Amino acid sequence: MYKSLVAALLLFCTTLSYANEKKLENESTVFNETFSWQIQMGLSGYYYDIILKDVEQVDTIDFINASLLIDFYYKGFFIQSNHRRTDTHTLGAEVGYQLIVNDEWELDIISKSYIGGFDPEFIQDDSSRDIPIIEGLDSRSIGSGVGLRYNRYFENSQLSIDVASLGLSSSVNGWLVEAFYTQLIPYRNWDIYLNSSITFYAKETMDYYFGIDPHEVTEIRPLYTAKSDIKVQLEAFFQHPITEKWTFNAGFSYSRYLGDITDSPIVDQPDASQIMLGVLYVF
Amino acid sequence: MYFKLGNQVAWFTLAFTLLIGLEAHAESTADKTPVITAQPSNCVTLHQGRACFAKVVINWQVDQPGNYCILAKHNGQTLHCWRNLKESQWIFEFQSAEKVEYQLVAADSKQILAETEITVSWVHKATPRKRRWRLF
Repeated sequence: MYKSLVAALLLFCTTLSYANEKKLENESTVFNETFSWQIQMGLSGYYYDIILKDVEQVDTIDFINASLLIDFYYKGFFIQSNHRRTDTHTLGAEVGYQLIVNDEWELDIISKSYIGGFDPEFIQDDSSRDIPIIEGLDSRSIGSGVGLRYNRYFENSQLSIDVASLGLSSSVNGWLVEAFYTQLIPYRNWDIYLNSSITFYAKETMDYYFGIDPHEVTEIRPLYTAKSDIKVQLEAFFQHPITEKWTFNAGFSYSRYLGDITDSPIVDQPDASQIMLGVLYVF
Repeated sequence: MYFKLGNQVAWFTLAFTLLIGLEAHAESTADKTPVITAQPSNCVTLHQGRACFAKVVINWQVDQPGNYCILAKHNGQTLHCWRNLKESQWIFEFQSAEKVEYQLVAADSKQILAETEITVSWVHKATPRKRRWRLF
């Protein structure tokens, strides 16, 4: 079924694509083909809650993040980073193709990482103390998905809705629907983005991350099958120029699962906060 | 011979002293040349075309006390004036999307005495897109 869906989407690309060009800051021509691009390099300090039981940031390196944000456009194909979100520096870029572009709305086929995975073995090695609740647990992959994105543009705000399958490009099962709204408030030399999102995760997806399979059961970790869930997120992101090449960035986000996620033996809390302070160098 | 050499040394010393004196006089004159400076002299905004905001300090100095004004060069608007002063400072909120030049003028004669400018630069270039910010 997935293959049929991809084939249908690709056919849709080739027949209906009349995409306008995205114009990034720099343009380069190689072998008579012109593409536009932008590269930014970031260094930031992070604090984030981890909803997994007994897992927390430990070493200094856990609080520091270096990232390379690449934006690239060539004839409808694009790689882009959401520069206005706190977790962009950890979840990476989005790859896609513009199917339909109008002044007010746009439809893209997109592939991106929607959920960060975790490796219990790595977490245990990184920690100075034993964490029995995750011992012997299977690794959970990053939730990469392929899907459709509808963007609706307003004067100083944007709404985007993603419908994505996670099974196409990763070992994670299930699908999700994510609605994201961002409002830009320019204040003096600041760009202030107030963001909110609501995401529906299918039962299979929640179960992949927070369910406990029979072979993972221990005395303190009973069998558990997760249900579908909804996550809401509120976020404020700030950007200010330092020089012509450097910007200061700060972000705060709060997210909460509305369902029964804490019923999972490995989950400690339904909500998580994230604070980020950093700088970006613009090439 | 000794006398002649001594005479030459005396003339050289005299000439050197005069030269130093002239130099010092020139320097003291230069000190009083009308001067106007702005700090900061460059304002950085995030996006080309967006207004840049900065708290700017303008210092000016002339050689004679009098009535002086600061004008915006592009529209000739008088921004601030002083009476019977030969130096002063003006702090104001700069707000512009492009370079602004300022002139120090004598209030009575309207003579332009000195100029300075505040340039505007940006991190991200403007693109043909209507809403640059929308591109993630």
